[in-house]
Amino acid sequence: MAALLWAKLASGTATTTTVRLVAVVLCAAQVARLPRVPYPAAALVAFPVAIGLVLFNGGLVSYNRWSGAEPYSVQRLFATRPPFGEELSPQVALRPGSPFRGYADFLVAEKGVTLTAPNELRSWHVLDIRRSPSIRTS
Amino acid sequence: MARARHPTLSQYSHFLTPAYHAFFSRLLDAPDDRPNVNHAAISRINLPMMRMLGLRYLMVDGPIEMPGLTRVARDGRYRLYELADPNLASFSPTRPHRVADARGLLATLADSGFDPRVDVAIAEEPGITDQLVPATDTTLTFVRGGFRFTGRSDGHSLVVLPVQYTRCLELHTVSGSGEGARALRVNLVQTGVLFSGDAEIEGRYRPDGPWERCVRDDVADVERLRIHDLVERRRLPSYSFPGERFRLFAPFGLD
Repeated sequence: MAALLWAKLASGTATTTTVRLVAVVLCAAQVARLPRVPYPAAALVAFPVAIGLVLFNGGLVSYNRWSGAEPYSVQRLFATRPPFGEELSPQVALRPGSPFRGYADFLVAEKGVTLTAPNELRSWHVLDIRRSPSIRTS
Repeated sequence: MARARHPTLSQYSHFLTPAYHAFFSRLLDAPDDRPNVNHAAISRINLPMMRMLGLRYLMVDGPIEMPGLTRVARDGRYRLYELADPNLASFSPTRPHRVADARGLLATLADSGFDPRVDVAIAEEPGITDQLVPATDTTLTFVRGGFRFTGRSDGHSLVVLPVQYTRCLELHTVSGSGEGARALRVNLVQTGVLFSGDAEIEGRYRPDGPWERCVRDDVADVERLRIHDLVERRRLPSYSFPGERFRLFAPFGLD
């Protein structure tokens, strides 16, 4: 276990979760080996911990799955009109034959993942997603 | 914005061109951003570069006080700012800065003394004279499959178009009193039009195919500009892992 931890640290792939899990395993093993701890009690703790670790590491079980969410999936969808759409259209909207009058863009101020979608997405594409009570549209 | 026919500099596609990715990540992204090759979005205000690219309106989630930005509208927490004097095919630089590769181009563009209205960064391009004169009466109109550019020059002029450069772009001089116009890569990502006299020029994009080598020529450009030398060999980004990475070697400068 120590070799695994060292290898992950050396290769830069160790996460704080990894370190915590290794610490839990080592502590559990030490506790289970205490002479005062009877074997049935140690087994009662050690086996669920071992099984849980295997399942969590294999991806069969995860907190996200328990909470009803999948990692990297859309969690909330906000369907709004693009801000300033009416102001910008006469200024920069580009149509064949129209002169170029400049680009309109936005500054990404937040580092979080934001998905903006036009109102048209309230069609059947979204109806599937809206079955989830966590979806909000405006 | 795209659905409302509002052109943007930001792109979301399968893959950005290497030159565009390099330009955006070095000049328009914050240093702690995590740029990727599928998406380009502005996260740092760099007014000279924005104006050079043709950006006229910038929507910001919050207030900003900066010379060169004028607030023109507000919608809740969003503010709309207008940039003064963007490049609407109106930048006709007369001071070419010749450098060898993409690294040199980016360094030139990042220089505080670089004024995109009079300066232009170019890699080795034959046939560009140092005696450039500013063009006048320039217009740029987009048409299906390309664009139409008009301009006037008393000698040889170079106009920086707010259009990405590609070898698949073909220029035809519709009418003109001077030599035939020529397209070249300027400022790493932009299309420069070199022309003389009065010119009406049509730009058309031709599709790549078995008889057409323009995309392969674009790839050759990437090699010629040594864009791959810009790649920073970093460790895998932390979001690739389930949780925050344990930064054991950070104190030694290895993370």
